[in-house]
Amino acid sequence: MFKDQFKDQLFDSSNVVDADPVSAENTPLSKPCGMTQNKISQISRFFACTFKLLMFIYPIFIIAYWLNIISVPRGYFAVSRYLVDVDINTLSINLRLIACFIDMIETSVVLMSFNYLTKLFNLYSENIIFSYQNVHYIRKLGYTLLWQVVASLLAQPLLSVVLTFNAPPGQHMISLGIGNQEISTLLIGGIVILISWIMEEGRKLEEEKSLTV
Amino acid sequence: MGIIVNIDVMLAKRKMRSNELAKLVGITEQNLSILKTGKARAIRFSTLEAICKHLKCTPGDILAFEEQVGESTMFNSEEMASV
Repeated sequence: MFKDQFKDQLFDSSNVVDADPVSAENTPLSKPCGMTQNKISQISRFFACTFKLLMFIYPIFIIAYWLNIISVPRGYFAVSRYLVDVDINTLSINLRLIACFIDMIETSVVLMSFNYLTKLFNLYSENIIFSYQNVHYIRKLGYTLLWQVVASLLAQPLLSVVLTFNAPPGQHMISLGIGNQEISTLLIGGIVILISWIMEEGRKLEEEKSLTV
Repeated sequence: MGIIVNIDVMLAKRKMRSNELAKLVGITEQNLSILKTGKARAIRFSTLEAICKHLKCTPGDILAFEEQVGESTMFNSEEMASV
């Protein structure tokens, strides 16, 4: 019943103002028109550029942090991400390089999600909304968010070992935790996967619409 | 096979080109090609009416039905089973 309602909304051409009724019915409703098209295109282009830029800036930021090129208020990065409060200035360059390499596990997954977002918004900027590729990238994005949690759970204990390597005896730690961030990411990943299934239904309707003469 | 669209036959009879018909009907040449090649999933009554109007024919002149091979085989085997 919901699908029938949705189908009616998709195919309702009563809002299309056109002198020729035949051409109005043949207006491709699958592609947004007029102002909506421009808005989607412009905003999507902005997001595509933003995520493409982040694909370069984010890993550079991570590397710069571990190599002490940039400074972040003490405890901020460590407490929020690695459950261990350590001043990285006390670590040797070798330990910092190892920590940077371990951090790249999660960073690489984050970069994958930025990549899928860039490709998705590139499609939206060309007003391609319900294609197979859109569905594919949304699904991949959802699974990447789930993998991000797995990567985080892998990196956390390794990083805590590295960060507390030079600590006095009795203060070495292996930490592993599932907090708000991990649960939120899992939920959002699940929701994005569900959205990909819904978009797949939209794709089928779009295909049927495009093959209706 | 299912529903067959025989627009080419009527176009030849009326000595009309596909692009002319498409313009008269108010659809794109691509859509008319989709119809002719059998890829169309559905046709609107308004489009069918316009095609018939401009080709001066009836829907039966351009639409035909051919039974699919698989369905007829299944039907026959069911008949056989009931005997």
